[in-house]
This record gives sequence, C-alpha cells and structure tokens, in this order.
Amino acid sequence: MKQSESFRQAIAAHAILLPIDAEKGEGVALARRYGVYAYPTFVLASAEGEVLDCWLGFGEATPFLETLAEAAAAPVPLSERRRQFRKAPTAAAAAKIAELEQFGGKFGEALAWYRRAEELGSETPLGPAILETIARGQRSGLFDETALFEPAQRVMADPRSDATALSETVRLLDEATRDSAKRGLYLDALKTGAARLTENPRPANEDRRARAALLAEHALLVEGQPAAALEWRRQSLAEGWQEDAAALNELAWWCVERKIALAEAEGYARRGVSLAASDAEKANVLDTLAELRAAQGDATEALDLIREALRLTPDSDYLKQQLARFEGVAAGGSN
Amino acid sequence: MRRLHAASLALLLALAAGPALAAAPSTLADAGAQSLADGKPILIEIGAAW
Repeated sequence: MKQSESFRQAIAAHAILLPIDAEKGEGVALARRYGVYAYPTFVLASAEGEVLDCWLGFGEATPFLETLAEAAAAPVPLSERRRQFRKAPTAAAAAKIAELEQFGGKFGEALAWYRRAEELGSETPLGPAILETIARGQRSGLFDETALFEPAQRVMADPRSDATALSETVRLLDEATRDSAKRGLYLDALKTGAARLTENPRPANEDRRARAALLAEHALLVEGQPAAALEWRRQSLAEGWQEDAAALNELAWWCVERKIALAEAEGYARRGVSLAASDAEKANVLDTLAELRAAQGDATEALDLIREALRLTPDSDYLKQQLARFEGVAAGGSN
Repeated sequence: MRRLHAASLALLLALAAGPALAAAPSTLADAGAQSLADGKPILIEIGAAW
C-alpha cells in the first residue's frame, strides 16, 4: 500500500489524476471524445479538457513518471502546436501533431502530418507510426485493408526497422489479412522478418521479446513447428511470467487462438485463475479457460466456467455473449 | 479473453486503494476546477474496471 501511495503522490506532483471507467457513466463519452481504442489510455488535458499529450499503457512506474513529467513540463495544447508549426515548421513538430491527431482518431489528418514530417526530413523513422495510423483508420472504416500493404512493405524493407517495428508490422498484417485473399503478404512479411531477425550479429539493444513474438509465428505458420513456436512465445513474455496471471492468460489465449498445445495451455490458464489478484482478472482468465475446455470438447465445464466468470463480473456484456454462445455449444450447436 | 495492457488494471486498483483518492475528482468538470486552482494539467486514465 505504501508503494501505491507514494506512486500516487508522485503523479499528483505533476497532474490532477482522474481515473475513468470507459464503460460507465461519463467515461463512455470521454472515451469517445478522446478516441480511446485500448486500455489504459492516458490523456494529459488542460483544465478545459483540451489534449496536451497522450499515450498508451502502463508498464513500470519509473518510465511512466518520466513520461508524465516530460509531458507536464511543457503542456502545449494541440491548437497551439499547430500555430507554432506555422511559424516554425520542423519535422519533429509535425510528427508530434500527427501523433496527437492519431490518438484523437483523426487518421486522415494524422497521415497528412506524418507525410509533412517526412518531407521535412524526419530523422526518426515514421513508417511504424504511419502504419499504426492506417491500421486504426482501417478498424474505424476509413481505409480498406489494402492501404496497409505498401507502408508495411516499406517498414519491412527499411534497414532501420528494428525487432519492435518488424514484429508490430507483421502483427498488423496478420490482423489485416485474416480470411483474406492477401494472406500471402502476411506470410511473406513473416519470412522477411524472420530472415532479418536471425541475421548475425544481433543488435546489442534488441527487443528480445518482440523478436521472439515474430519468430513464434514464423515457427508455427512457415516452419510448421508448434513446439518450437510455443517455446518462442514463452520467450516473448516478460520475466516472471510463470507467476503473473495476465501473462499466463496471454500465453493460454495465444494457444487457444492457434489451436495448439491445448493441454499445456489449460495448465497455464488454471494457474492464472489461481493467481488472479481481482475478480475482474479472474473472470478474464476463466473466459480463456472456458474457451480451452470447449476446444477440448468439454462444453459442460466451459459453460460452468463462464457462469463463474459472470458471477464475478455480472455487468460484463462480453461475458453475457459468451454465456449465450457456450449455452449453444453445450446444447449441441456449433462452436 | 485477450486483454491488452493488462497492467493497467493493477495501476487502477493500486491507485483506487490509496486513501487520499477519496478526495480526488470524479468528473472532468471537477478535475478542471481543481486543475485551474492548482495550476496543473489533468491526467485522465481511461480504462475499464472489469
């Protein structure tokens, strides 16, 4: 508790904290207003609610506080950033505006600003950010899947692309080409990425987890080696994953999505259930376990597990849908 | 079910457990008023508590 209190105070030194549940009350409108697409999204806003900065996710306390301190030290609203750019256009300023526009869900504007940053000679490779913008625009219906292909190929061919960029690009291509006639583009990117990531010598500061995530998919889909794929996938997890309910759930979910190592995945999910620190987390892993049991042919246990998850988090619309689905499976319907 | 950025929930819960959070704003309007009074920006953490 002391640690969380000191962390809370460290945040309070820089900003007024407003935790919002995106699925309840005012949170629904705020999530829409700020273009939230993943949890958690952190928005640094002015007193009037105008965006000053934003970023995704929470990993470690120290880098989180550094990001916050940096953003809070120079709180410039987006409108002011645009004014400053007109006076003194720089690639870095254009890229920052693009990033904020992207967060706010203005994907067309964000792309135009990224292009501007490239024209101004950005030293930072912007391919991954452009790709992310297009992927989000695609999910919102602004672009079709083909818009992703050329920028993705640019990132894959760019010698500056590191393991993180290659792995993320391959992941986006995976999402964009599922059930598509263009699936070959994803497999080609997997092969290119795996070739790049197995070159020697390895970069000293390489993101080993990103590398392992890509090589896991390559081992499964290109080499047809599920055991090797699972080993790579384990290596893609953070240290201590065996004691982390969220990581165990992630691994079990990866297996169930790919229909491999189901018995082993069941062990991971059961351990995740036992380690879950809250009802919400336990419900989440129970859902994964239910999927696993259904995939193994035990529709009755799957249904029991979903009922238990729903008992823990009765307001979850997702779990209500899952319950209806598993009731259908248990009654003899299709999965 | 896959949940991205699962660590967020831990943050949310850890912060919610802090005793001083009871005095924290619960709406954007309240946070805006406090922001003006304290001269600090608002950090909105948008997550889901389930």
